[in-house]
Amino acid sequence: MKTKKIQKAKGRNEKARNLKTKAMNSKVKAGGPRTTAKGSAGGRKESVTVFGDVFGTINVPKDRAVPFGAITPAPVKQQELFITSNWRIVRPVIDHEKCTRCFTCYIACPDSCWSFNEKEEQMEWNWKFCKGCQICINECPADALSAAPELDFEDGVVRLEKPF
Amino acid sequence: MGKVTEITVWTRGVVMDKEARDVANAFAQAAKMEGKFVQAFDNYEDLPDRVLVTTRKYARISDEEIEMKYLYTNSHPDVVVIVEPTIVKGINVLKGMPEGGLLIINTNRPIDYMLKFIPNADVLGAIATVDADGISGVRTVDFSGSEGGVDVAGLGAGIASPILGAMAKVTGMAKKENLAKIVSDVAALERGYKEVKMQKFRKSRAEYFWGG
Repeated sequence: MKTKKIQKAKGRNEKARNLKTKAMNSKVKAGGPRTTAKGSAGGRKESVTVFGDVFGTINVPKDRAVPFGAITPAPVKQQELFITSNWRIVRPVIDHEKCTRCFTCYIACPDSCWSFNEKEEQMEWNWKFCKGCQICINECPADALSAAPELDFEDGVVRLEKPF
Repeated sequence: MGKVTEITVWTRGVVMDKEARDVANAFAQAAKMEGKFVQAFDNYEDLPDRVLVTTRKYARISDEEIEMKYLYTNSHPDVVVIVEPTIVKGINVLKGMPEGGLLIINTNRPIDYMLKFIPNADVLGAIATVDADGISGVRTVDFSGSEGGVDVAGLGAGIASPILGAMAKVTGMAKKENLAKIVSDVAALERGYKEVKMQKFRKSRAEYFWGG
């Protein structure tokens, strides 16, 4: 008796599993993740798959694809289109000997402009996105940071054509 | 429509917004007192309500009636005024300037040092600097003049007056006496008029006469 029951249960499970896989297969057939659209879509060959595994698949021609954030390409590490360094009047200058590597500037910076360079074992400043808010200078417990006028330096020139 | 002189004032949002607005408005108003046709307006393009963001104010002066009513930006500015000198590093301020134009910067640094940051300075007819921060020493953070409100601090309070004095001397488009009737800080206007430094460049095709 026991063995029969177990066998029955097994059979049911298998049935269910088969149904599931069937359904999935049919889904894939209906509109599964494709990398190329059919030629009927305006003769465009390349397309992008958007959220293929989660919500089904939409085949969008590559020139009509909307990136993450809808306006610009998705940021990988930093977004070159959003350079805001021309907001800066003063820039933070670090004294690496005074710096204790406490990472307070890394935590405090609203624009994540401070990072730790593991090769040189010191903090690194990202000039492209620092707006010169001086929060890191106020927060630094070791007084390793100081404000210097931006015009004293010859680097850090962006010269955008339009204000952002 | 005759020749329209376009003036673009570059400034930073919120902290120096009022100064630049005063520069554009007061200069146009002074030119109007001399019987010229003027327009002066804030920008519609940039978003000025962010602290330190670069933003623009505009003025237009002409001997005849100005017909460019619905253009909200000066695409070919004859005069560019920079209220905060660091802007030369971040923006191509001479974009669209016709040959022989004028650049006025509020800075205490030498002219040669500022020219290092302007690689397209060969279009310039003249460059002038005035140390408005040193003269007035005040920066007014004031919203009362914007959005149709009442200007409590007075037109030209802070660093706007010395810049207006320098503009009166270098451009010669508005008289100092007329500006003195408009601005609240006349002493700073006089000092700006006296202390402006100017360097001219020789231009063959230019039709401007900067510096009177």
